[in-house]
Amino acid sequence: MNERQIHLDYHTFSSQYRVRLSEGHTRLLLENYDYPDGWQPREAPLFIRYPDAYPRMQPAIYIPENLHYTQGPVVHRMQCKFDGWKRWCTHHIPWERFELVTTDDNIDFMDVVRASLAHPSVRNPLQDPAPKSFLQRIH
Amino acid sequence: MSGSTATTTPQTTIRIPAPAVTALRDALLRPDGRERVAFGYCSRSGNDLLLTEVEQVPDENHRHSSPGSCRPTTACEREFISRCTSRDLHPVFFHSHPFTDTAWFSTLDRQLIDRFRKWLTTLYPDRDLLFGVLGHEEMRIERVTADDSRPVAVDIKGEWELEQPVRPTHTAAPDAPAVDTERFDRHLRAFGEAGQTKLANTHVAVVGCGGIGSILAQTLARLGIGKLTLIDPDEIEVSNLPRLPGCTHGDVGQLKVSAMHQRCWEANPDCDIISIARPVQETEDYLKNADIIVAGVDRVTARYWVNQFAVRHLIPYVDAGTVIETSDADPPQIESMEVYIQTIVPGVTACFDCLDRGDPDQAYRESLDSAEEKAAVERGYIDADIEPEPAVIDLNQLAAAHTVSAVKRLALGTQPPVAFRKYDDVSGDQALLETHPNASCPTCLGNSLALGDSTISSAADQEIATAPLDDAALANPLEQTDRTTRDWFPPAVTAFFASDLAQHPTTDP
Repeated sequence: MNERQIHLDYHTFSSQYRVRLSEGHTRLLLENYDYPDGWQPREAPLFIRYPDAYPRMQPAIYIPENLHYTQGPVVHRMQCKFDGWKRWCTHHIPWERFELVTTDDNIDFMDVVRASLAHPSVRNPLQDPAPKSFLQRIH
Repeated sequence: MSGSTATTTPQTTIRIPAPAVTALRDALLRPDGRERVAFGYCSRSGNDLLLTEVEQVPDENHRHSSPGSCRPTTACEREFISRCTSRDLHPVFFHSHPFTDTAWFSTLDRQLIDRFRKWLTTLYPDRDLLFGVLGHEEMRIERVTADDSRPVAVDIKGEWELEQPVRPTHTAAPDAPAVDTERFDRHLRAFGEAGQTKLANTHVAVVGCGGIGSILAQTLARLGIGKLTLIDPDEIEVSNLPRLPGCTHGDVGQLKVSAMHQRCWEANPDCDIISIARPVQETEDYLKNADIIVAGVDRVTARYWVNQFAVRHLIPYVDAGTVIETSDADPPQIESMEVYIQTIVPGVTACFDCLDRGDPDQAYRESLDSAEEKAAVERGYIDADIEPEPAVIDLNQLAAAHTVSAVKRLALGTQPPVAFRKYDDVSGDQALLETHPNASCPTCLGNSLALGDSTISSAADQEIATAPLDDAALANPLEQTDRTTRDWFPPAVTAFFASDLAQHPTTDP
């Protein structure tokens, strides 16, 4: 894994969230991630697990299992081995097209994650019309 | 001191890809015949050093530059040192001797080096301080400590790419015993004693001891490779036996590396063999010492990882694979039987990712733990079962033979290796390709190249890397969060992060 890239991610996230990085550079915790409308509570942790071959490989996103979505079904939340967390399925997001997080106006991976969190009943936020408009709105 | 004949040294080796040598030549040896200065940035990889970044010092930043001497401005030197320390890199002060083919430090150079020694070794005791001199045909690099100054061995990767060869004054000392001339009699007639000695002084790490790796390991031992590190976490299954030469029913259940260790030792008792029954991602310290890595593995995440490791530590890597395509008919008909061999010399040729050879879907599947995989299958994201891919020993032997050929070329240095070879055993078609690093590669020309052991790239990163672990956070990280967050923190967060969490200030970089 490329720790330099992870440090860049850390610095970028730090401008917006309280961030913790594990010593082994395998996990980045955003303590006060601002979840989109419909999630209860709106501010809660989200953590990113970096794979061994990051940034070649896509990181995994996890959200608290007791986080509730109040406006309908959720299709992206999957069981995982970490107690208290659920993996947020992002396999539909083409990792090659995005950086994890950027400081510029380009759409990054976390933007698309946010879009899927905003429309958790949609299987692919890059294809369905509502999330597309969401992406346009946030930029 | 003249360095016109390369001598050997047991000390640190500095690895330099050929493009960096070319950049040095371009910066230092110009038609006007004036001495000039260039700066090199080194990272560490175990006991060795890696150099890929060369910075030309502009003429206006030279205090003087004449056919007999040169010196940059003090401000320029200070800024260079500052850049090195903030990026956890080690400085190399290069200058040229354009009036000669050989490379040596003059009395004036030595006096200057001594002044730098007094200035920098006290101020930055954790930095390696290096000086290099380049003649038209030679390069010499010395490491300066508070007590002395010693030459380091120079290992130019991809020498065949140089338009004008540059000869290091010092190379790594051979440590292998004398070649067994009786055993290797026929080899000696092909490679000569010098060539066979090079093979005996080569350390190859074999990642994966399955269908391709088992043949590779045994062939490399018979070739006379002096040291082999065998890496594979798996045990032998019955279905492996048709593709593991020398293995029988009695070996089923044994670790693959143990079986191959025995076979390699039988093939060449002089070969120093290390067996590691772990996933390759847990073998960094062993791989760092390898001269060449070869891999015949089917897990794409392992290939990504080995590629990134090789790029990071400037170690040549030969990736071997086979693909058999069959029709859907019953019984299936073979449509193609392909061998792919890619020789990766980091910074010189394309890496695995430069050619985008990975399979993201397979990588995604491999990244899932069992609970996640089960959930993904239930949701229809991935197929329930993955059928094993077809594999046969004769195709594996072809792949292994071409891989050994690449290793031999890299070790002997007599011929450049084929950067990419694709062969179809059905049609007989073969494609041999040159490759070059891809400017958009996320691994090779991202920021992994020659990163070595370093994990930081700026002063701001030093803050992350050196922030003390907060015991209070370890004991109860929830105390570090505000009330709203704490209420919604998953109950297991303490246990989950307790073993691997550092608290960092939330300041902007």
